[in-house]
Amino acid sequence: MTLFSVRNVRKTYRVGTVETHALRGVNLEVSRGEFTAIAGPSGSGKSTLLHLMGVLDRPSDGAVVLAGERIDRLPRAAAARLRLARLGFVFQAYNLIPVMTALENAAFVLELQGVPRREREARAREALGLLGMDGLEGRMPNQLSGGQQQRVAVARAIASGPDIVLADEPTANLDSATGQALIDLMRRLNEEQGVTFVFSTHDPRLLSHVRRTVRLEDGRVVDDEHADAGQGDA
Amino acid sequence: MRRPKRLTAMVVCLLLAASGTPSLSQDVPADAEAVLDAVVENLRGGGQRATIEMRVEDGEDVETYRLAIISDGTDRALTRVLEPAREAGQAFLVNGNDLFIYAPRLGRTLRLPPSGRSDSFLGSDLSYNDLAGDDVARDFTASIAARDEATITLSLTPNENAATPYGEVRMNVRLPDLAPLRLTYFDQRNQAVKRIELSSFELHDGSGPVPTRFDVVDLRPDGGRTVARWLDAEFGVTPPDRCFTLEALERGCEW
Amino acid sequence: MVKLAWRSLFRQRRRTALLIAVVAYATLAILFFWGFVDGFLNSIYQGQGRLVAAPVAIHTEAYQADPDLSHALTELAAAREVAAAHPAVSAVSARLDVPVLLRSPYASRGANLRGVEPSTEPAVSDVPGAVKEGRFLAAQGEVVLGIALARDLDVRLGERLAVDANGLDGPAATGLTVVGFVDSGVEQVDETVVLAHIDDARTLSGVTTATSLAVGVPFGREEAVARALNQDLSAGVAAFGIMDQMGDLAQGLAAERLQMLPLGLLFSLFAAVAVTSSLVVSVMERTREFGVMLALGMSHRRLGLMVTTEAVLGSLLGLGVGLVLGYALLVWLAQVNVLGPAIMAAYGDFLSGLALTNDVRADVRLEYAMYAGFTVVLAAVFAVITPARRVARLVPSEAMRAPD
Repeated sequence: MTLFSVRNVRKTYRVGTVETHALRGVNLEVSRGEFTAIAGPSGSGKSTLLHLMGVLDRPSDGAVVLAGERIDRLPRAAAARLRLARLGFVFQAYNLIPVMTALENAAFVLELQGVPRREREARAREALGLLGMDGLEGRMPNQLSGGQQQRVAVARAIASGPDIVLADEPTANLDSATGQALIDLMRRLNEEQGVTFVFSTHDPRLLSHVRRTVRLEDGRVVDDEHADAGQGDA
Repeated sequence: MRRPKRLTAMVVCLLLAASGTPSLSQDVPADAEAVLDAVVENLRGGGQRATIEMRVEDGEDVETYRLAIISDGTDRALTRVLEPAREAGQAFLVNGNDLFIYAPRLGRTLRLPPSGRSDSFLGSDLSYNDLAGDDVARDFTASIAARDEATITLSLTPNENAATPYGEVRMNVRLPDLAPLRLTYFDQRNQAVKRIELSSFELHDGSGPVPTRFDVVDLRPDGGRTVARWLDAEFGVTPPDRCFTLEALERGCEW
Repeated sequence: MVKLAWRSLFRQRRRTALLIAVVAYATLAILFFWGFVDGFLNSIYQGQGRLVAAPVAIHTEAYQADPDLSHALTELAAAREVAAAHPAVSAVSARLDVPVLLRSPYASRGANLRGVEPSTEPAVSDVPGAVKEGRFLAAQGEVVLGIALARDLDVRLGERLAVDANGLDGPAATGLTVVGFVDSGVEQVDETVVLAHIDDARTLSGVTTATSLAVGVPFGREEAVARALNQDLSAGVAAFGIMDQMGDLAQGLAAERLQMLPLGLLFSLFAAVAVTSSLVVSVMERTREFGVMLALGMSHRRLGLMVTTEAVLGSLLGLGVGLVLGYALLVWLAQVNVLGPAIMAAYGDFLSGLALTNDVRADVRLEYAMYAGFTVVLAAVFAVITPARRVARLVPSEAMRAPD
């Protein structure tokens, strides 16, 4: 069942008279329960694609559809509500809120949703537990390692039970072993909890456990490889 | 600015009340107080009508006034300025302790308060307050400081709480007619600060000697000098009371 | 929302401390500025009051309107009794003010001779205490002069001064021996004071009683005691506080204070700019954090509200701290004479023309909190407008890329 549908999306940035084509007609479908990597070198358009899927930005052309509903032209406030209710985000490092503990960070989205304190803390604790962060709930971000910080970010993303978690280069600032461990954790959440993940990476070594890899180059999908099916879908 | 200058009762008596009523005793008293009384009494005699030229020197500035004076010889005097033209018409009335000024330009009569009396009288070394006068006999005790054939020098020292700022006044009196020749005022530091010289004595109808010239010299640094001369005078007259009224001050008094 | 903002403030201690410090400093500075200005003016006022007038003066209403000898206080004994009966009154002393002409061999000056009771005058006036050369009056026949007046007349201690007056019974004169010089440092006093025994003043004026009663009252209670005394004084006789005795001065000082207003506003503006800029900087520093919050689904409106709440809370905290510290400082400066010696040491010569005593106490008024509060609110409004607008323009995908 198709959860996300990206249809012929283009994104052009204009700086003065110079036009930069970040995406040149991308098509992508993501089904519920997928664990999908978007791979490609720097500047290939990975982050732009994830931002468009996350309603953090609008495409210049084309459509983004979430569960049958177009979301690419939503007003700002509606986009915020959508992100809060249905999407989970993991960004590159340093995206925790520095004044909050690990637990508060993990519970932050629930707090914004208005979930009562007791319940949100229980859910945040559970999410942290799933990511092996037991006992570190009271730490501030600056007391955590980079890998631990990203695990808190993942816990924050899944704690509210979103339709999909979009992770933009979550391992970019981690060493490869820690990065691999983070991907393994996300994979396990995908398999055991059924969380849908789409993440971007430029590190090909991380792709061994991924079921589907979409390769972007120069704003175009050049390959869409399913580990079990082995079929491209560009 | 001219500093207000100060004389006391003697000047008042001399300038405004000088007269020549024949009351002079030719016997020179031996006692200082008696000499002083005799001198004052001689000068206090009777009325006069006179024109006086008053020359005021203050450094480079020299101003000459002509004043018409009517006095009853006691404590009443009417003075009118005749010259210079700019000051002409101003008049001063001394009536006992009261001092009035008539300002023709304002057309008004002013009674001088005590503070105003320190202002200089026509810019001279005399002030309005001098014109109002004090009681010499009450304020000073006389003693004989020196005496020779021709003169007797009285030393006048203020009584306790006397209303005078001076430490001593020395008076040179001519013998045997007891004409006052010179008054020297000393401050309380024994410095002479002012001198009045009297001269050109005249005798009228057997009166005592009447000075018709005063030289008032401020002895302090930059002090000025005032010279008063009687140009014409009638001594021994008795002006009517109406000459010492506010009406006379404003319109003059003919008789 | 308040909780969120509070947590943010509490967790970001260094930033919050800085904000509080800036706001508190601004508040303190404003409080100090006005407390000092008013204290300074008060000191001139009180100083002049106790040198030139009396804490409370009792005289006839006619004398208040026209200080002429003919309006003297004839019912002296009765008024004295009323004044002495009030518990706050420490001393009562009769005074007889007579316009006189003072003459030395060198100069003469019009002046107001104040006949006083030598034994009680020091309890109602600061002038006897300001006799720096010679001594205060002890008996009749003596006079104490302001040092500047003495210089004008060129008289020395021990010398006699001729005094002429126009009394009720006609002109009167006497000679008084100079026994002391008043050197208060206050020009108006040193140029005008002439004190003599009240009996000499009676002789000069022809008044057998006094023109007024000077009443000793503790600092700051002048007007209240005057009101109380007025209940018991007989008709036509009234008690006057310093304000009534020195209406011109009070008006002058009010005008003086008005002149300080632009300076005070400028002061407030600087304070407001400091508060605003520290709030703006603290928002700019957090651009990335705000980007993350927006990306996670916080609405711009909610974020703006959070930033505003933080600014308001932080400013209020700073205001509170500033008010506590500021008022503590003012209360201390009102109780301990620290300002006086400091001002005198720094500007004594320059200020000698004012009736400023060595005693300068800060004033403590509730309205200063309003001045400071107004400033902080003004700053907060600026501060909230600027960062809130900034927040409103944030694009999350860009904000997250902002440098730390």
